[in-house]
Amino acid sequence: MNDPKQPGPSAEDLERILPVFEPMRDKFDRLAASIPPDARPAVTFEALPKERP
Amino acid sequence: MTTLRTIAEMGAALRSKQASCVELVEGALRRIDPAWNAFITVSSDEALEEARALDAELAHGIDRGPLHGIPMAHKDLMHTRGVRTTGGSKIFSDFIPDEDAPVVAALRQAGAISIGKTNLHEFAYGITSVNPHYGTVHNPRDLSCIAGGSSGGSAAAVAGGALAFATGTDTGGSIRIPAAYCGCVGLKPTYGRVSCDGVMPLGYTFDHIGPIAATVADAATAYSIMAGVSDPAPKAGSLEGVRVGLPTNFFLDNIDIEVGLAVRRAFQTVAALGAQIVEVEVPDMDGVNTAALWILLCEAASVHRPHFDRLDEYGDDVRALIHQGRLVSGMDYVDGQRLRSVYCGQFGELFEGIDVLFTPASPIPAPPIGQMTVELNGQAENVRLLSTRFMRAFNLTGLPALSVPCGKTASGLPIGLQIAGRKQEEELVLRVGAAIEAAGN
Repeated sequence: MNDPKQPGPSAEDLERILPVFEPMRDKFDRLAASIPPDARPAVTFEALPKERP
Repeated sequence: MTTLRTIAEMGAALRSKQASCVELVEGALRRIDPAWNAFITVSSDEALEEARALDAELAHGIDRGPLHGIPMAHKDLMHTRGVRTTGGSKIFSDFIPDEDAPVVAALRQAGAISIGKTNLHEFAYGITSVNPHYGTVHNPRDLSCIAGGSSGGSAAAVAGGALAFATGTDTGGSIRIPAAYCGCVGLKPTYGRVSCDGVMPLGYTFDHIGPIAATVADAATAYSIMAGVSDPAPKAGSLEGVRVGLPTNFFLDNIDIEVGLAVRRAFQTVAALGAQIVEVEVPDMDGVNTAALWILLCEAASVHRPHFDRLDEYGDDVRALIHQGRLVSGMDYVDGQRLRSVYCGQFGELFEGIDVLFTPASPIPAPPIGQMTVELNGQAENVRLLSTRFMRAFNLTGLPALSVPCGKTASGLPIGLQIAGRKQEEELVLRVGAAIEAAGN
């Protein structure tokens, strides 16, 4: 869990989520492995102001 | 008074003094069928007060333009000054904003009269509009079927004939899916074209605001005010010189037979009007959908982080999606956005060879309420994944996409055609949509 301070899913929740989530996880991992090395994120710091106020 | 359906019909009646703004609002309120469960809040008193003021303006020669006195409604994600905005949730059931969202303010300034807030999938995070707190939205074309979502109430109110248009939001198809399932027109404009300020977010880089309307012309008029651009006023006619993409992979695979036939007729319609049909291979759509879903899971979890201690007040399906989003790492998110760059580039190349792309809006017509899977070509398929299958690409890329009716099944359920275009080219997308509409496929 990426936020240990917040209450996480209950065991019951996890039981429901994981069977759906794990196949998606595998699919995404395979996809991520195929990303061209020079691909940059669609959301970048280019959107930030160029100069400090 | 004859029932006036379109913005133009209502406007003409107002200006020829055959109808008043008050009468138009009263008519809209009267036509709301409780069986649709399309509204969370109906603000009759406020609407009638505004109508009286707008009638007085017209009497004094003040005309705010095509939306002057036109009744409409807002999806209950939009902040509306003095009118509660629930997001379809329990935790915001008493939230009353102090200010209008800019898109609400723009419509109000143009003279549009909101008669209330429409029902939706909780927090816009789903496609059925089966809402555990405010009840299920029913499809006016067949009350046993879902209206689609998340903007289900907006589509039901329009398709049922209460309104000429209503606002919607679209993060993974939430304007286009209900428009297709209910048989009306839904426009998801280019990303950023309509301000999302003051609208409860779902996925920051996927959220779009747009109209759901009875006709393409009404969608265009509403969109022009929402986006602050001139009215494209789309006219059906020759499509000489327009290149229409016919996907040779993915979009016409594994779809309902009647949907496939209706979409193929749409190609014939535009070809007869002079359009050039160009066969195209689209990018890896399975990858597109996976990347889009992965980014959205993460962004939606971020949106709801302030309420993690109240997730027991959420519906089971939405809570499960938020928990899934918490399992997506920062590295995954960045890689999802890197994939997005790759796919945006590929779609950019695709649209160098075509002007618009036709796809079914959904592989299936509206499924029955409560059905989680449908059988398609002998396989049990998840309703949510099916309904969003052709949608997410245009949220990922931010390209404009319109859903317009292109036929009906033998049982009378509407079928939607999706018309996608290049960035900022809503005008062309609407013009092609007007041609499909006029053909009455």
